[in-house]
Amino acid sequence: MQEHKDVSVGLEDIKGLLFRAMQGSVTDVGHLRSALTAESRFQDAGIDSLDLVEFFVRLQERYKIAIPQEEYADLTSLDAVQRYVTMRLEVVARAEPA
Amino acid sequence: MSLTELLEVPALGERYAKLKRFFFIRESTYDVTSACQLSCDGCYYFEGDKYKVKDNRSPDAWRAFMQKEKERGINYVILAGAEPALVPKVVRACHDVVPFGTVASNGLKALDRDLRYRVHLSVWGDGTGDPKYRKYANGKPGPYCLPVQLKNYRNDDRVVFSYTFNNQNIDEVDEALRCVDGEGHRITFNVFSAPDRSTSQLQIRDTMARMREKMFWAIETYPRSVLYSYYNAVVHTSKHSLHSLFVCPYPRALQAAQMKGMGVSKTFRSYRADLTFTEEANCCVPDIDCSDCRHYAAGSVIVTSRLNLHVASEAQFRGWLDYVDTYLAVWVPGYERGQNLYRFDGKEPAPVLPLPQQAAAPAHRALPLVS
Repeated sequence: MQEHKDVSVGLEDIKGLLFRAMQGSVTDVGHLRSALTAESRFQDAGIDSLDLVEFFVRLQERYKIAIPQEEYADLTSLDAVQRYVTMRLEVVARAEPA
Repeated sequence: MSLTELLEVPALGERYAKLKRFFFIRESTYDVTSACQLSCDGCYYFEGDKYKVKDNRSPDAWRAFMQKEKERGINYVILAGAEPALVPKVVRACHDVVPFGTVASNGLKALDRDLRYRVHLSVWGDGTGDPKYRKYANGKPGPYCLPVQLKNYRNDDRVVFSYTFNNQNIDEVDEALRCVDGEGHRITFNVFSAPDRSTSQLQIRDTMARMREKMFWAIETYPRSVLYSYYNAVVHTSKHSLHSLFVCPYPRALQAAQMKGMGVSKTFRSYRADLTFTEEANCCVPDIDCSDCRHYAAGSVIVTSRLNLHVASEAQFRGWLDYVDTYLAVWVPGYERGQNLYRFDGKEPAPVLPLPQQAAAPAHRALPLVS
């Protein structure tokens, strides 16, 4: 029986990458740290598109996954990003020899 | 190198931090009148049927409309068609509400100096070519616009001249550069991008390499006056269109490619002079053939939005930083660009889109307009 690899991704880790990407932007990061929930939509929270693209690049580098730019539009919240990254890691884990 | 490592290179990290403060800009484009003194070869404005609307000339209506745009989150307006200087009260009404933006003009009539928009003045050639490419509306050879522009906008720091390279005018830029530099102005470059179904002789055919060399020469010869980077020259003279290279995020192009986007893809609109818009014309140059698009306004959004396609190497990232730095200098009043960080190393950017999606977006159709 194949061993199941743990590919869970922490929401706090993802949130940390988002705020790292937002360093130096004009968005009020201090307020967002407390206000942004897992379900908050990035657009509604006023997070600009460069911050998001940088966030997606940092996710790729952190988790060593590819995030095609045509999928950016669906990654609208921390929750959606967490599910997406987990799904990607599961695909990678399944492809790796046990 | 990872993005983190790239940002640890002092020159790159500092430039990125400088640029990042300006990504709050949310723009849309507005035709403010259907009137123009000129009828230019390949003019985007008079292509298709979209311009055949009844102009709204009421400053009060424009003021109220701009207020709604502001509430929608738009903080930067581009007043572009057909000739905004012919409706100064409308321009002022827009400025009253959203005072951050750019007016694209032929410069034959001056805009009041207290309007603090950036002013882009179009230049199409020298004293021989310009009257030929830009005729009067009645078909007679047009005026040589540059001397009139320089007179109307002497010592005016709002101005950036925009020289549109076409298949016939590469060496004509010499005269424009001398005149603009001599007056202490600045100039950027555009590349003629054919409208759908265009038969214009100005469409770029076999002159892309020579154009690139001329751009490089201009950057080196007029470093103070020329707002253009080596990377700008490389991507705008690639054999691939900007859409093919990076995928255009404007709603019109994404809709044609059946793709979704974020940021500008969701907020950008292109309004007609009657204050209406349609989804399939939501693009900075709505009747351009996407597979031939090398337009400077399009590039400002297309390249700038694709950081993710510029982090695989230090050279790519340097190119992107230069491009965004140039974009901001061209469009944001008071922004000063830094030294070029990128030098062309012979490597051409590879296109993102496979061949079937390089086809043009569908031409604008006269659908019911929605405001």
